Amino acid sequence: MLSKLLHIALFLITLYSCKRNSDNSCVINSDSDAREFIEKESEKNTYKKRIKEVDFKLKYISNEQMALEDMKGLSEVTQAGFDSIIKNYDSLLFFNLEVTIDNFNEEMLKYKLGENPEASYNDRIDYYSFRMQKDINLVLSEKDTVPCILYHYERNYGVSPKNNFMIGFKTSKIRNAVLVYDNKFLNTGTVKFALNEQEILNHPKIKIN
Amino acid sequence: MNYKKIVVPVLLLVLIAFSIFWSMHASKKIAYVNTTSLYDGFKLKKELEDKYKKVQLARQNLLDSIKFKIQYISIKGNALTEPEKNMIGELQRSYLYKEKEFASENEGTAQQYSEQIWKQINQYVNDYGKEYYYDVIFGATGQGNIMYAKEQDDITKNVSEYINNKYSGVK
Repeated sequence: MLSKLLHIALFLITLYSCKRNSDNSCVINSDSDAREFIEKESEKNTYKKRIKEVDFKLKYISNEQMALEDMKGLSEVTQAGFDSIIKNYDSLLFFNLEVTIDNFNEEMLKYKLGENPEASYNDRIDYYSFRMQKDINLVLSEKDTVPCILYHYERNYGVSPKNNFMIGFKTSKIRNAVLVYDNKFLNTGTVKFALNEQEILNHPKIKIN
Repeated sequence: MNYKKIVVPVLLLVLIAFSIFWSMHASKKIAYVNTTSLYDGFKLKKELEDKYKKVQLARQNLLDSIKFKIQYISIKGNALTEPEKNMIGELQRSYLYKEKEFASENEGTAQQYSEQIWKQINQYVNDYGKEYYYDVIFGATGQGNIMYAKEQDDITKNVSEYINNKYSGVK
């Protein structure tokens, strides 16, 4: 009950924190507005799953967020500049997948390495850096699967227990889409996230002042 | 008079404490699930089973092709040349080695899949218990761990639906 109330409160705070127009667009006046927008948006549209000791958190990253990230540090930010950058992300769908393991404060590369730790560690570096991309797909229907075309494993060298993967798909269809991650080393079995089409489509658009 | 002033509140307190204790224990929400049905009806189990069958079939095809080669070369019977005899020997060794290797790998894969399935089932049943405020959910296997329970306490169907939704990412 308490957690439900907290969720509602958080939702209301995020809903009214951005300066919005009547068309649900968000007005960005400064760099700090942009930063605030990115932080707030990334907390919404988040899908969570826990399987035993492993936590999976999938965050949808809107094209607006991607474009704002690209514009960070630019001396002049204009609507035209923003529009031209956001075009690069047409028909692309981005997510950040965060994996954490309970009571394990190192990189997950070192988690339960087994009998031959050095070889296993090297195999995992290779897997998480390159091969894991093939194990992530966006399933639209039984006969329609979109492969992950953009993939980046953010190594943190043990600084944080969070393991982040930036993933991207080329598709404009998201109806009934399910993100499927068939992980190899965590022994949790396939992990699925059914995407909420409405929440993704209704994310706020941006207007630069 | 003073005696009554002490006894009545004490008795009242005892009564309240007893009723709290009774209500806590009497209202325990308990149910059971048939673990075999849960396991068999779990989507991940079906998916992994299909995957396992495909791998097994591919391995079997490989073994069959070696067997076929051996039989094909052996047709000549006594007219076999020395290199052909050597080749048959090599193929037979390869067949036996691969058969053993595949059997051990199949066993390992089956065990790994089973672990993954139970990991997810246990997690989702745990989530179900928390979400629907159960104190205890027993797992009945039909081997005597639960000898009797009312039919209305069997929540297998609901739990099965819940864990499949959880797995599919719907919940």
